[in-house]
Amino acid sequence: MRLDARRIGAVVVVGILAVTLGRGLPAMAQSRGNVLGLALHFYPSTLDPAIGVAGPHYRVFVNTYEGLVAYERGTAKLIPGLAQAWTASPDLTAYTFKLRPNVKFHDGTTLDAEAVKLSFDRVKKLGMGPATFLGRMKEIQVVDPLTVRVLLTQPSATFPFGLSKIYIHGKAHARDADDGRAWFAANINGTGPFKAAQMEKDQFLTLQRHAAYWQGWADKHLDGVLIRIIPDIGTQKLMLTRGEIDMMNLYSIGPDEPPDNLAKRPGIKLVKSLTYRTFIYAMNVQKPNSPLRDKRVRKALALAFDYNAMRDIFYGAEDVPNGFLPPGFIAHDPKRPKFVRDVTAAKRILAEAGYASGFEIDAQVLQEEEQGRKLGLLLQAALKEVGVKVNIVYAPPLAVQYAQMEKLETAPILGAHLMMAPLTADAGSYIRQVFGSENAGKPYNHAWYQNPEVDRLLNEAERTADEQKRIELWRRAETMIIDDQPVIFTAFTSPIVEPIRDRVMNYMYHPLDYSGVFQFYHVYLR
Amino acid sequence: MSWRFLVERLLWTVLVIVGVTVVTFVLTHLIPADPARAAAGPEASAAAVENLRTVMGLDRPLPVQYVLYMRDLVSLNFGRSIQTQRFVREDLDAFFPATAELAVAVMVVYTTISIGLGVVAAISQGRALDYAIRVIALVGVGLPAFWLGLLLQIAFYRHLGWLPAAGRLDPFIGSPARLTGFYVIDSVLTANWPALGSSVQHLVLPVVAAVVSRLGVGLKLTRISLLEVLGENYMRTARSKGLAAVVVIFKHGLRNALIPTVTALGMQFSALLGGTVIVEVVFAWPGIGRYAVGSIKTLDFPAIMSVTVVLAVIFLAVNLLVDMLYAWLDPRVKYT
Repeated sequence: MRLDARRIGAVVVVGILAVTLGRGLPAMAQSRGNVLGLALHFYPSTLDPAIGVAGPHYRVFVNTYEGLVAYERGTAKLIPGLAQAWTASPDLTAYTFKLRPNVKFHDGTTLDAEAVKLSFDRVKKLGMGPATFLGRMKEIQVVDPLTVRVLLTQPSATFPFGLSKIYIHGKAHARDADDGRAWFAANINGTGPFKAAQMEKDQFLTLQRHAAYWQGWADKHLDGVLIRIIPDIGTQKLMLTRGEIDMMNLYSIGPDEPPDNLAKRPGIKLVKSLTYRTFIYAMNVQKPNSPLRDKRVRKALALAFDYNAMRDIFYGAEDVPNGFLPPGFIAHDPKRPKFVRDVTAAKRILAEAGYASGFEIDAQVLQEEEQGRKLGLLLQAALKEVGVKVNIVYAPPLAVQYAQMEKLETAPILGAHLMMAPLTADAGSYIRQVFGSENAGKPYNHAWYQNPEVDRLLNEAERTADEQKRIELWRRAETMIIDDQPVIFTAFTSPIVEPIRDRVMNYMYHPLDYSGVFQFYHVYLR
Repeated sequence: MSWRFLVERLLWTVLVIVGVTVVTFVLTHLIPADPARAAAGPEASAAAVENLRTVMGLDRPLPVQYVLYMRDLVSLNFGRSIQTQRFVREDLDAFFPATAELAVAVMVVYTTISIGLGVVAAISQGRALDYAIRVIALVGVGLPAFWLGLLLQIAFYRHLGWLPAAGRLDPFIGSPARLTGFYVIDSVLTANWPALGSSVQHLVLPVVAAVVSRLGVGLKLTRISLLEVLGENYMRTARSKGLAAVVVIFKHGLRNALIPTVTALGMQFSALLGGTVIVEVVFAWPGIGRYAVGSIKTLDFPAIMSVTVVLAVIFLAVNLLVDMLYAWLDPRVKYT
């Protein structure tokens, strides 16, 4: 008997080895047909478009869902999306959207006003991240099967700008007892060019063509996208080098090695795209007993910062900033001079403010990304030259950071650097997010900056229908903020440089997206 | 082993689990954090965050939150994740089998190699082979798992192209029909041979990385214990009776030498079932370790509590199993 058991065991082992080793490695990307391979760090925590607002969510949403409006490829120009046209009431308190006819959801049902209303109402009811884009909405009404009217709580000329991020989903399950939270967390039913084919949590997500997509499939397109979840950047690079994936998600701050290193390997090319990213260091302007309450001190620190050294950290993909709104983005003022380093002036101003011998402050640094640590060291070295000793403190997890920031006594004096990028072309809400009084102590206004005049200008801009006048108001608000210097504007980081396989064609990063948010409809494989 | 002993152990287990829930609950809630803000996202308005806080019950007094959590836990309702809005039970159901499959594979290889090499080292005491094995064990312990993992990937994936670098399965093959959640077992049970080949292939590098970095412990314990036993009188008696060396070492020697090794193996197995975060990250293994770390970072209370409770149960169960193994290995061990 024992001998039989051993024989059986041996046969099993040999069989497994034969099956395993006989297979060889999985086929590389080149032999996987018209399916693009993409590696991302994280599986989206939810697939619900009424809940997700972070990079991992948008990486799926931009390919599977659509909003009433959209942005032209590579620009901040608003264009029709699922709504083919819209009109505003004269007092800017109501918008009427005319929907495209014959648009199909992935489940085969047809887009109508009822589906739009359900999607909007669900976002409002759940009250999660995307609800911020509907902050001014009072009510949405179905006018007829292809028309909806949105009533606002106050006049807004910029309301439609945020609607690119309110994704419209099918009606099925939206009225479930839990408002569809369970179903939408794990399923996709949008009108976007790709639909979910196979999903394995934290492993992979396969998207395939939505055959009935309203923009059609006449040109060269992908058959599908295979999204692999690969948390380690080193593993991602190996897979890109071997061609098992075609694209990867670089760290949000920027590449941790010169992109040219990867591009030297066969089959890999670099793609450079415009971004609207601005890096800032927030200086808490209200913290009791802090030298940074004095505007002169903040000015001095901005003068002491080494803007040119930022180029080394970003491997050249960086420009010295001249404000908050970056080149190419609406309301950017090209005439405003760039910031310059002037250590002598910085020392003189510090002396005038009573800090001739400098002072000591803590500065938060993000430790999870190599570039974050480098930024901390750069700040430390730059301010040392004017006698300011910077103690680096590693930033806690986000949930703790948010709680710390909400109270002045626990908020950091010098917050961790922030990479800001607008998600819509509404410059006003973008400025308000970081510098609005009502957002002091909230996730982006780390500086606790409050200026009623800035608020007034932003509110006036929102009520102004004339675009040129609106831009002037935004620029005036920006000028005021620069004068108050609640942050050090450290860099405009454009272009973004992404290493991808050379068979990937027609790819372009959208500057109104987060890092690693790839739109695949126009992409094809050579 | 008496029934009374088992019942007592089970009662203690329940008490320990309740203790673990109290400590975890208090510790996680003492941290000055705002999980509602983290879940709602930085763009969410203050009203939206407040609304979410109410929905999640975070605005209630701490004791009330604890009682409600325990009430649900008794019916195995782990609650809904703050981050994902999915039921935590679904997440555990997805991630735990991956970790368990890796842990079992690691333990099979680890036990075989560490005991095998430990025996070889013991019977070659003082010779070159003994030194060589000990040096290998020492080097293995000294190698950081992430670095070893990367080296293995560079060698066997990038250059040789023999083995995959990441994941549990080739996505183009598709997962086997789910019966146990263990891909290898499910592939065999459903006769899905491509999935079997792919899942075994994907196990190789993570298993090697996890085994090499642990090898020293089991190997050295086996060697030392066996050396002690080999000097005992009954071993001399067995040899003088003319028994074959293999029988003497494995039947009379190893069985008596295994108790410290089994203790160490039990602890290693429990730790492995808690997830090997580094191995899971480097090899993109979708296990409970990554899930736990992600939950801690976002202070996802229901997920943290559930992972803690599940791991506590596992530790206690493995400890009980180890105690039972003692009695099997050495009949002189009695539990009353």
